[in-house]
Amino acid sequence: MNTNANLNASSRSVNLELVWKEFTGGSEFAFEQLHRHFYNDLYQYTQKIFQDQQHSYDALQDFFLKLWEKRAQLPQPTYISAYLFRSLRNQLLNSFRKIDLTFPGIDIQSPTIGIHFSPEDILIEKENSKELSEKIADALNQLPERQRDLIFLKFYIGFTNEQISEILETNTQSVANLSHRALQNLRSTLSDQEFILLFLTLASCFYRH
Amino acid sequence: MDVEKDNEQLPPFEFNRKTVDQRLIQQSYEEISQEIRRKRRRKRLSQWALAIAIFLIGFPILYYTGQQPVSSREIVVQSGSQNKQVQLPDGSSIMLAANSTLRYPEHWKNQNRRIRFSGKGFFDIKKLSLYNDLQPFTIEAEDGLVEVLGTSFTLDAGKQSFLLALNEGKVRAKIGNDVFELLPNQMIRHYNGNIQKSDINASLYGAWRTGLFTCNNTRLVELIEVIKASYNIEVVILDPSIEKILVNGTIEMSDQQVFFSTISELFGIKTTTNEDTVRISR
Repeated sequence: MNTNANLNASSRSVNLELVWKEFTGGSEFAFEQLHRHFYNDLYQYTQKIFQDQQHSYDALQDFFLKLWEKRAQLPQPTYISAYLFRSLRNQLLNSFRKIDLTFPGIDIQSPTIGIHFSPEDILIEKENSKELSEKIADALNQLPERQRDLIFLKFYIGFTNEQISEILETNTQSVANLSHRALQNLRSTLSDQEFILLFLTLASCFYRH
Repeated sequence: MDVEKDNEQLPPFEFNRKTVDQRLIQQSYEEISQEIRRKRRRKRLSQWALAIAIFLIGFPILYYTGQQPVSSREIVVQSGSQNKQVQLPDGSSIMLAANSTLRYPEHWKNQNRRIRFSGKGFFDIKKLSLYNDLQPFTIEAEDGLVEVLGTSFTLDAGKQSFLLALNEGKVRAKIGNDVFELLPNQMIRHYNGNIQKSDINASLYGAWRTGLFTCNNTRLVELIEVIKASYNIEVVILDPSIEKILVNGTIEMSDQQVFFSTISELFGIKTTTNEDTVRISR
């Protein structure tokens, strides 16, 4: 049973619960499987936060090493992917509290996860769509941080509301509300014309499949 | 089983999902597993140390130097009494002044370029990138840490002092808990408990490599500033007209006494030395 079938990193089927159990029991082989399975998604998340490959890489190295060191005390989570994202998120927040000037622009008093989208993240299958991608990325970046975080987890990674509620340490209802608000905000920032364009591109994608 | 798809609207676009290069994932895990093995070795080593310590009970003092076991060997380069040019595996080059020491790991890693240094040197660090990202180069000195991407600069780092004069590029220096960013022709100096950042003519700070100041309408006081910082002395200028003196041509600077006697002769001024202070008058 694969609880994380919607994660885009894994095309192979892995019995994650068993892998997790073996990993917490001290198997390095299982640890490598976990690393390979989740690296991509965790990396994309970290990269969106730091916008710097070296920092993202280092932060993830740190994260995996700590995970290995604490293996014996880790619980058996309902969703392993959500558990890893939550741990990574907390580790990043903790590191922001201690940071010197390495990451300018991060508020040290009350650190938050600031996802930043770029136009290349937006897929529009139409010519001259560059401007539109920029507009959407812009609209996304104007959302409050928590809504951006949610958009990324939900639509980029593909987590469900329940999984997101575990990551953000809240309940499913607030995640649903948050996602509703985020979409409403997007709708109001993008103009009608842009919206129609988007609708058409999406419809054409849909038609093609 | 997955939770049912939430019964909600979708956003009006799709994300372009990227996947990270497989080689990066592999590199990441290799480094992690090396680190795991290194820690395990260290643990085993400390268990041995404990066993030996128990064996040694009865001796009055257990002396622990606090030195970490070195996991891989280091290459040590010492310049001796002359300047010495060193080429690092990544193509960076360093000109060591006399009595300087440079250490770098035998197993050099371009993605983690890190060396230890004491003394004085001119660094010409190669810019390297991996996966389009610049690879930093870190220099650990007694009194501070210097992080660069690709630049050239003079670093003079002894036990009591720290001087960094940047010619090109951009560097970040960490002295104690303070972090400084330097741009070309800026200098950071830590001496006598003071940290000072100032604008300078960086080429003059590299003059020690040839032992000559090459001047072209250069103000004498600028040369004196370099001498002050290089030899950690105080210079007091008693006659303000000295500050107007301009210098052309080359002046010997590899020895402070030679420098002061040369300028005395050239410009008809008097210099008197008293301990670490040189006084200059007409």
